[in-house]
Amino acid sequence: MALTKQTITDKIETVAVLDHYVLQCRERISVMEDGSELSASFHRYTLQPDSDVSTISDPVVLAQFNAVMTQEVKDNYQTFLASQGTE
Amino acid sequence: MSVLQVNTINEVTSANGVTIDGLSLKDGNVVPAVGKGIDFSAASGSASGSSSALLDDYEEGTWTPTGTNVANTSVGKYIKIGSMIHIQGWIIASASASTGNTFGGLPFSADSVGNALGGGSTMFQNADTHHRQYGLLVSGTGFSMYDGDSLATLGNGKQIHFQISYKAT
Repeated sequence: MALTKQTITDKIETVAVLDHYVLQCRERISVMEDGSELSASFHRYTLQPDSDVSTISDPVVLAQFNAVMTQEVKDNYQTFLASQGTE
Repeated sequence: MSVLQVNTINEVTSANGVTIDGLSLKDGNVVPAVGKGIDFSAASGSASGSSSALLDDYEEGTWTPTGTNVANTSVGKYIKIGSMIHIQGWIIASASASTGNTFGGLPFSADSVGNALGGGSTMFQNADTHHRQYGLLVSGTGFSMYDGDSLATLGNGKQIHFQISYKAT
């Protein structure tokens, strides 16, 4: 009858925004009892090319980030940011 | 045309549900396959000029607002209906420092192509002794807070409650 909390990244989406990319990550947070899921909820976060990933522990998310966020993508993102004006 | 008339169709194998032409019915729920949903293209007036008539997604969850000096007790929730994102949240500036005027952490990247930034919202804060209303402008995975034409800053220990709607990429 032990209750445990389990968090897994169940979706990693690579979304193109003009000429750079954003990773949209979804975590499924489950409350388990003896291996059976009692309840679950989703938590989402996004990673931009300049995101600090030092606190990301999921190796799959890190691998996806490093594969997608090439120097060219990071440069494109900085160009994109510089082009964004305020209203 | 043959007509099949039955009162009840039950799954043969528990947990598999029943599938009819790719559409699954399981435990009282309609379970569309990936990329499928409710197709409104034949509905009168809905498809003409629309870039999509397929309602193919629904999701609820939480997200975490980020930004300079945003307290880690800040929280956010989201609902995704098709490509429309509705979020609500509560941001608290740290007790010792103001936040900036731009926040991040949105659960989905906004469709900002063509400068159609989306956003727009209502909110209030207790930055002063009274509640004030500000505007929020979405861009990418973040948003900025405006007081009229100018960017506004959230003061030390102050907080905002807000809601935003935007279209996902």
